[in-house]
Amino acid sequence: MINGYEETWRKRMADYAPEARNTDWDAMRQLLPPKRTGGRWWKAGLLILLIAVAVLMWVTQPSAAIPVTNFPVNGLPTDQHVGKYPASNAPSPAVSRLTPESNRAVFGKLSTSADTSFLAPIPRPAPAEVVRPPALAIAPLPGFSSAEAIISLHASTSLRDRVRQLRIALPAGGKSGTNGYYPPTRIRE
Amino acid sequence: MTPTSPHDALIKACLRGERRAQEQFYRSYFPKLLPICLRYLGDRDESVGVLNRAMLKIFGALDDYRGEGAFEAWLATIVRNQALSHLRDQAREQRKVVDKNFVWPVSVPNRALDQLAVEDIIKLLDRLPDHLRIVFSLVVFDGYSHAEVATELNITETASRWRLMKSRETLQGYYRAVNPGKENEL
Repeated sequence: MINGYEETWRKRMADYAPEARNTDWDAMRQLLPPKRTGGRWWKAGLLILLIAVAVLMWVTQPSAAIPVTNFPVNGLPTDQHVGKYPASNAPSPAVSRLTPESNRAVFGKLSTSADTSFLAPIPRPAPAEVVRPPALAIAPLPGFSSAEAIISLHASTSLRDRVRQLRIALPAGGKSGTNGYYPPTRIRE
Repeated sequence: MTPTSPHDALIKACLRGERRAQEQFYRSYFPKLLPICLRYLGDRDESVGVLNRAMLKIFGALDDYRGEGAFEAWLATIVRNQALSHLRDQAREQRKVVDKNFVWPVSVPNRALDQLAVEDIIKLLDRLPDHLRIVFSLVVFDGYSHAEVATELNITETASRWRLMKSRETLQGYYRAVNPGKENEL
């Protein structure tokens, strides 16, 4: 509960509306943060400019790509394929080089046919030479082939047969020692 | 943001940081917001300083206003909270100390106080100690109940009632003191 004069005070205070002075606004203006100077826009503009320059340089540089020809695709000349998909009405300088009109200007009648004889043969890579590693060459023993040696080794492994073979190989009449045995064998008498 | 204020374009310009729009906004709402500070602080220079800090918050929070309630009431709440926060910060310093040698008259008839001009009311309020003036302003001018005052100031309702009573006695005493020749009119 409020007193009578307090109700009067409330009404008078509600009607009280002092105007702002210039000094009040000056003090307020000092508190306000500085107005944006556009620094962010400057940075964004510089970034856009750099991107535009990069794109422009990429577009205007001489293209090393193979020029567009009327190479038939699925049995149809390129012009017919292009006719299915009409190009934009706003040609750009970079794209205009690739339009069919420009191809006709360059290749004349050939550009409307499927004749591709005027084209240079597509370079194909030469088959790679087979490099074989050098084989180890061991000269065979003279007068003794490896096949004969293998056969002789596997024919018989008994000692008697080996001795017999050695006797056969001996020169005829050749005897060493006194008892005619080879190798010389000392016989006790 | 969907402000219900008729100054939608002005508010949008303020959000863009346009200084001229901010000045227009400031001058438009200054007359309604400064009395709030004056009721709690008394001194005009101090009130303008608090109001400017509140305006700074308002400019930063305009984008957060969701259109819930009247726009001016939203502004008044920000300004009132700023004033109370300012008083809480200065409470430790006991900015206004009650004059111990002051002789309190018993009472002053309401009809004498009823005839005071606004400037005199503010002068009287300015002489009140902070803890009394805050309760008096909250109850008389802003229509707070004692329970709301207790919640706002983190005091008991009894303390709120006592402060309101004490502020009334003090105002009557101040009026009697500054108008000694009008004692016969009371």
